[in-house]
Amino acid sequence: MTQLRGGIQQTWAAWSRFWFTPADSQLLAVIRILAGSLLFYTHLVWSFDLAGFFGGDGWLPADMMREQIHGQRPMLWSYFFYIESTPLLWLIHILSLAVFSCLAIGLFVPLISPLAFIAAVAYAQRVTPGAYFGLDPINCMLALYLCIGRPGDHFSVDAWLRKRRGQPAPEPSSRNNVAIRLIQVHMAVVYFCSALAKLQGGTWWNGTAIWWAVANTEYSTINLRWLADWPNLVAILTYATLFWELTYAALIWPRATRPWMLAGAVALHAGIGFGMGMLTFAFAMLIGNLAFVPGPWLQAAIDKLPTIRSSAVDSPRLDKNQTAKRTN
Amino acid sequence: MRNKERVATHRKMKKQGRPTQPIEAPPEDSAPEVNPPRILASLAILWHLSAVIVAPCAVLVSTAEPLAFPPGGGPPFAETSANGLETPLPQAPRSNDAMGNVEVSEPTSAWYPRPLAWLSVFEHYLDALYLNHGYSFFAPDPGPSHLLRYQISMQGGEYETGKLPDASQIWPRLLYHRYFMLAEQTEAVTQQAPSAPLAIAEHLTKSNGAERALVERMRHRLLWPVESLEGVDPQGAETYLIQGGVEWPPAEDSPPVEKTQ
Repeated sequence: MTQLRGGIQQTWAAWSRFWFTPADSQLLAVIRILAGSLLFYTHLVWSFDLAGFFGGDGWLPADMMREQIHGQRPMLWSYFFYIESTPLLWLIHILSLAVFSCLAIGLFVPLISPLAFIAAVAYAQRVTPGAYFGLDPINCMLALYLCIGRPGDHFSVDAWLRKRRGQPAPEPSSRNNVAIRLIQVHMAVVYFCSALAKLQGGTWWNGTAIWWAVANTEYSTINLRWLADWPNLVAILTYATLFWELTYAALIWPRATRPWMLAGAVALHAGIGFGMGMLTFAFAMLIGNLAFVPGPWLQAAIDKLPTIRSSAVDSPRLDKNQTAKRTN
Repeated sequence: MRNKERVATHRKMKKQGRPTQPIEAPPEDSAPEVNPPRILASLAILWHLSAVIVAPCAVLVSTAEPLAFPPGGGPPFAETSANGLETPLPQAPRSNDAMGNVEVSEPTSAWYPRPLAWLSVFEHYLDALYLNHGYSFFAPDPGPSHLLRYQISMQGGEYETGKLPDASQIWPRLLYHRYFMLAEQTEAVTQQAPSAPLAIAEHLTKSNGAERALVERMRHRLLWPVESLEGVDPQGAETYLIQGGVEWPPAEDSPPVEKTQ
């Protein structure tokens, strides 16, 4: 009984250490800037055919989508299903872009974060199915977890205003740690399940999948069909991709292997971005991988930027013990 | 210092013959708090992570081909599986819902895990937060693309033709990708909303101020490596397979539109 109690206490201690150690929000702030910017760009692009994708009489009419597809699942919500007027549609769209830009620059973040998440989901639900792809769930995931932490405490207009008012710097908070951990665990789930899904296909087993990906001219932006003459290289790339995704959930956590896994993420997503023309998706995935960047690395990068460092002077500095607790 | 480290240090000092202090239990105030907010937060985290894990797992198990949920980002499946590997899992009943509204089915055996049933517990939560995805990027296999080819009849008898997506006409790249996904996902949408292709044709007609439109769905097959080495044009006409077409207004209301090759 004593052993059981001791085990439970140790488990609770480890759980608390993992999730609730107070953490600085600098890393979350960097993610906020990048994710907010990506959200802004993602939704700015809809402007080129806003009525087509979101209007009542667009490519896939709102009432058709609402009644025939989303009707059986009431929580597949979007206010775009109910907007018929084009001027109103544009008003909502411009307000949403304003929300995303406020998130990126860090203005009124506690209010803006949940609004950004709601807007991101509303857009995504309206075009799912229809015109969505992997970028959208990752965008919404990042927006969700930014609501949990305090990403506006650093590198933000809010932080500048706080400093001007002479208010004290914010203390490290467990919320920041919870947000970063959720991003980390979610990314691990994404890659692992992606690998499992690939294992259902024959081409990932026989080492030809990369060829079928580069042979798709609708995706490819760089002609990589010379790989037809290099079947062994295709196989190596195929198995390396599969191995990296399959082991990400295990190898991203230890300090010894984390840099290699992060390097693999950069290589994989650079290939997807530049070779397959999905730069925004690649960027979104790399933002998610940022959650694994160790605190000392981030602090070293910040220290090299004099402008940012001067505003960070007032803030609790990341110390090795704190970052060790947060990132282990 | 953690208890394990304390014990290890104690043993080391004893081996070295150095004087040691009795191992004391860590002070009570170093133990993590057990308070209601933290417990509630922990329960919420567990719930959320369970949902995050169940969603893609249910997609993996629900069916091998096609997926009950739309692919998270990858194209449809290859036309042929290279070595015909069979899925090790029994096929679940297909969903009728293009959104992946999975029918929860009873297992054929009492011991068979029921991730589809688990999904029903989290369904509303996953739907509301847009977490109901399988993350099946280029999975199970990278496959051929699907495009929409259209011909619209303008007033005065002129025709305009085009295709979606068209990289030479659409910029930026993200917008091109959106039209690409529109063409790709038309089949998935049509499974639940049969009028979807007509809606697309109608939108093409009205947005271009045209009288009629013919929209055809094409599959652009992928070249085998040997074909690429032989110099086969990946954009050649023989690589496109017409899968079907619709006219707007529907054919019974107007003379049929002459199809172009």
